[in-house]
Amino acid sequence: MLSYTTDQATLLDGRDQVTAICVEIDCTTPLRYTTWSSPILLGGVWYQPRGMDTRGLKLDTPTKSTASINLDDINGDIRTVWYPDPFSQLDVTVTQVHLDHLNTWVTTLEIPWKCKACQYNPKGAQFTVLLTMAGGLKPKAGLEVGTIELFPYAPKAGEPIKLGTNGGVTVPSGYRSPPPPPGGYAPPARDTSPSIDTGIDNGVGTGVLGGGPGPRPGMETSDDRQQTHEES
Amino acid sequence: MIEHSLPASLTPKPGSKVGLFQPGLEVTKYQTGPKSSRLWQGFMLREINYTLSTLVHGSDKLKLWERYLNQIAKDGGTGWYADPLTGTHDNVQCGPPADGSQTTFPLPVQGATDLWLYLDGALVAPTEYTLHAVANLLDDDSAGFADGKGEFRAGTSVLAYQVEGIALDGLCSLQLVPQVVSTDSVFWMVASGCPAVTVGQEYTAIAHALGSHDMTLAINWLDNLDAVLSTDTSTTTLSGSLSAWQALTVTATAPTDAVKAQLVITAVNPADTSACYWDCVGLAPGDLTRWWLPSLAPMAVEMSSAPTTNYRLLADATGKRLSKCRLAKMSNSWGLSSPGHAKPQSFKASEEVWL
Repeated sequence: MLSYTTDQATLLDGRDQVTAICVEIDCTTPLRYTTWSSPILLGGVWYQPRGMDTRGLKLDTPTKSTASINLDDINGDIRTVWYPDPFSQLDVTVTQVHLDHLNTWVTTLEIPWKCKACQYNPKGAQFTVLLTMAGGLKPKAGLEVGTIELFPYAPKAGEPIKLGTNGGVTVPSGYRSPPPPPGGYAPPARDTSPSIDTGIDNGVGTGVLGGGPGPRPGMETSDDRQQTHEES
Repeated sequence: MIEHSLPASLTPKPGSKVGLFQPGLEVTKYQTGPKSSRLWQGFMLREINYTLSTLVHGSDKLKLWERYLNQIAKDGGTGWYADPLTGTHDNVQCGPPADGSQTTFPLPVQGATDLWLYLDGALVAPTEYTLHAVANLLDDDSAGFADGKGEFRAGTSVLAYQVEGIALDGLCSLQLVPQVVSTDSVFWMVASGCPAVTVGQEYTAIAHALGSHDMTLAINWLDNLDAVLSTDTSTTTLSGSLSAWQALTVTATAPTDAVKAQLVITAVNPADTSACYWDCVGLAPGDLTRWWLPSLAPMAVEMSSAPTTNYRLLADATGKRLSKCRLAKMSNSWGLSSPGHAKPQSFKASEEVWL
């Protein structure tokens, strides 16, 4: 008869992992709800079961700066809190939890959001919390990752990178290469005859973007940058 | 709290469907594994798709159907549906999560056998609870006045009538008309119709009133000669209101020698002879303050001590399952199938996670 090691047994148990989402709205008396069907004790506080639609949330690698959660509010208790205490700019923490083999809920992912706005749909009796990623970790256009407090002026994914006062380059969400180096397009001078690329590096760039003078001594090249990111 | 049930006379037609579903969480792909490896909910819930049998014009069935829809749809409420068949059921919710003080919970399986209870996932020993056969010990007529006044009779200074139209559940309620100003109008159950009780057992009486008089609810504990041993009266006297039904409850323990519990409702010292109305009357074991029509009521489980706050009581049992469901959107309540015959439209209802 085959026997399993403890680690193997744990892995086997994990084939039917139980997962739930917990949401905390940090109002005066925090509202804490879970998608699980019974209350969850997490971090010393209870999350109460509530019908929620969390499909708008991306839990693996956040790629959007906004999201929303729909909560059932048939009995009106969320609205009762919301009317005198608008949720705008309040912290909203979304936590993914797993039930381990000791019957304890373990946090596997925690994403801090901020409430941007709320709305109530009386027909569906759903209370919608619109979220913004102001407090969350997300990749910025330059592939640096950090909070908005750490990089207050960093553009968000999908936001144009402004070069000067006119125009900009839009970096689409999920773009994984560094933004183009500055310099822009440098048209050839009218009085310059077309040149033929001979393959000889004469110190003059030939690309469209990043054209102009070649790298100054000590300046990081694009190849260097790529290597740096791969190492990180 | 009123728990409305689909009237028993409204029966599902062949072809109606009952299923189980796992609502709630749709888990996106994550580093711990694919979506298919997830359990979404702690327990599976009922989903029913019913088409009711034809309703004949002029019968109570059509009235009951529309009244039922009105009563459960108000405030997005829920209604109860009894399985037409007996089965074995796992993880049946026994009320909302514990509040730390309540000891008695509904067990939504009628005639339950092979009962196993779980509190927060742990098996509950049979020595730690008492099982009660039904959560409302009255009969249907005394509890809902659908066919007369049940076992209630006018006591002193009052006339009583069954009336149709004004009702908290079903079609009818009881109208009490005081006959003498400034004298208590008392209405009680006849001794022969009072439910039997067990000495030392706690009971909760509940009744709902609508009217302009102050009103009370009391339990007379009767001995084997139908003599009153003692009386427990609701601590709250309802101030009269014509705008909303109000609940009165009284919880007390049956004293030594008590054999029966006699419910007494009183319009206290009425200033005039205007009518008041009563409906949804019940006597439940323990501290259960929810009202069901007795024939559609669940069983009740009384724990020896109040479970820890937020713990949920679940049951595995064989019997006829009751499901607390919320209706999905329904465009029509019935259609005219032939002159004088109304055919209810199919409807779908999903069981609630009991909060």
